[in-house]
Amino acid sequence: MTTYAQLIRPHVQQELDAAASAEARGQFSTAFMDEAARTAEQPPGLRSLGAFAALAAVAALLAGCMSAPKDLDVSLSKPTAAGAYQVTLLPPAQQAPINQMHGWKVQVATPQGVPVQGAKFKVGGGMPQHGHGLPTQPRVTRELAAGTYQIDGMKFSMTGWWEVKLAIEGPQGADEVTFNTVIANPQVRP
Amino acid sequence: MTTRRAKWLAAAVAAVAVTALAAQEAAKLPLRDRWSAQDTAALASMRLKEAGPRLPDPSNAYENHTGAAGFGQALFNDPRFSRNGKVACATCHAADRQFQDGKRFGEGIATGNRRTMPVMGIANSPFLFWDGRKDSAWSQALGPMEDPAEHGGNRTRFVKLVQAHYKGSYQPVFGALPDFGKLPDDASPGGTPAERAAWAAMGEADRDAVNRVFANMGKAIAAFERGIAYGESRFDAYAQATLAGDGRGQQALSAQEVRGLRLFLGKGQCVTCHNGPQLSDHAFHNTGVPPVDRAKPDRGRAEGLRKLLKDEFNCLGRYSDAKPDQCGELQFLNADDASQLAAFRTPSLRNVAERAPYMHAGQFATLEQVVQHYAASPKAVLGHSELAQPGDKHEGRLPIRLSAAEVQDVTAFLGALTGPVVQPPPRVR
Repeated sequence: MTTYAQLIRPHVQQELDAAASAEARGQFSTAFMDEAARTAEQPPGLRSLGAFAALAAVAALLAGCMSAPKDLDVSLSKPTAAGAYQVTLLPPAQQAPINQMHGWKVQVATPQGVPVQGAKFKVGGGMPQHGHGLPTQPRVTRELAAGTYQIDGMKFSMTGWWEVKLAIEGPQGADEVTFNTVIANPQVRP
Repeated sequence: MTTRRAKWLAAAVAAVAVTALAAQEAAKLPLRDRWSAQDTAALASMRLKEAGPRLPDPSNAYENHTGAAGFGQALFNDPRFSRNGKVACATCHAADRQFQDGKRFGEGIATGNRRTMPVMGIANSPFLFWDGRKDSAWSQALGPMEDPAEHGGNRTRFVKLVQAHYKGSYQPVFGALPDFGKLPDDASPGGTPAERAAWAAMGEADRDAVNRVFANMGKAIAAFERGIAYGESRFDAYAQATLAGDGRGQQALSAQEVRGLRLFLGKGQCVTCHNGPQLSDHAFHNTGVPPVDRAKPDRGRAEGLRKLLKDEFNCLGRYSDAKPDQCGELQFLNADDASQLAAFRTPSLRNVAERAPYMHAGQFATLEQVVQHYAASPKAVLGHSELAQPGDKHEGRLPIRLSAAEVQDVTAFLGALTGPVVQPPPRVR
């Protein structure tokens, strides 16, 4: 698991915490901000987000899906195809309801774990088993902190295996990575 | 109250509650039909109550205004808003016919080229019409008014009708009607050549004022339509009973309907797109439905996207009440996806048995034919069908294979999705 050092200003961290706690209550913001990228200035603090990603992956596995391949790699932290970057996807702590627009976060670092700032992204994906793409065209709307970016406009219209593809352009050149995620029905409440 | 008395009372209340619960348990039968955890979760997610309160439409500031809804109801039923004075919204969206017309093609001034969709559930869908060319209920309502095959009217004539007949309904909601100078009788940016010329000759301020009143008519109609919704069906009662462990409640569905429901969730793959409380993913899919004219197949969503983006009445347009960041569906519109060619919106399956004929151009007369179409999964005439073809090696996706008896079972189950139509009482005139 890559240790991820990042620089987050306190007010940005507050915003992230507030969003996480709203998501934990089942409230997903569909709004987004197209403001200029905010970069970090504060002294470095160490945060491990790997455990969070692993938890989300396990939850996705447990949820299961009849049609998803059994050996599907649902890890949310992996190197890009040519190894230029290490990328970690951060879905909301609680899966957003089907068909509700929401945001994800993505962290990009060098293979050595140094956050990559000012990267440009193309977000794509879809359901490989169904031959259709994402119902929306998500995009990175801002850099929240050094190497941490906000993806807005995510939406899944059905349960099952979805791919989330990122084409990344940064100082180490262009590279791409494909993540798998399995969207399940929520826990039953009578 | 002393602490001792309070404790005694609490104990007594608890005892009564336990007894009542025991009596209730005794009245229950064990589950007749058992479902896997995964299927139970799917059943739970398909209950109508999962839809929750209707989603707000930030682009319509008047959607919860009762005065607007009353005005909208009057407009919905008023045939004067048409070229021949005989076509109202209610002509094709009849309150006693599931707010649709039961015909292959809509019939207004002339015959259209697509099947009329029902009004119920529109607040739940981000895009409207079979091709999703509109992104709100109010903007949708404006389309047919100027469509030459439907109302065949034009916006200056409509504004004059509002001035003549609905000043008293309009002004308390939307404010004073603008003082139009000399408006042409018939003008519109999308009408006949004469109407387009008259529109082009109007001043910018007049055009804007006419558009504003026209948009407000749509917002009033949408406020009325917001009160029209699907009610719970036998399926909802069954799903609820299954979750509550209530075998007696499961009798809401017959054995054949339950077999159909299992196929719906399983190898019939229906739930792939017909999911959630409206039994629709609100997305667009090409499933190889045969076009009416093979030489000129309907391009569906691919064309709808083009129209949506240049629509002056969309969420980002000047007549929308939404802030740009509330227009997520447009801001993050996936306009560049080859799978949208000849793709059509997944319709809700609620009350579907009351709504023959089926598909975007009424291609199938019965639900059985629809299910048979999916069992056959033919190749698409235009674009690519998402359905795996028999013998196809789709990654992890099996072709839909249903026997004749299974087609009957799925068809029977679809009949269990019928519930009442919730609608506002008729307006007192």
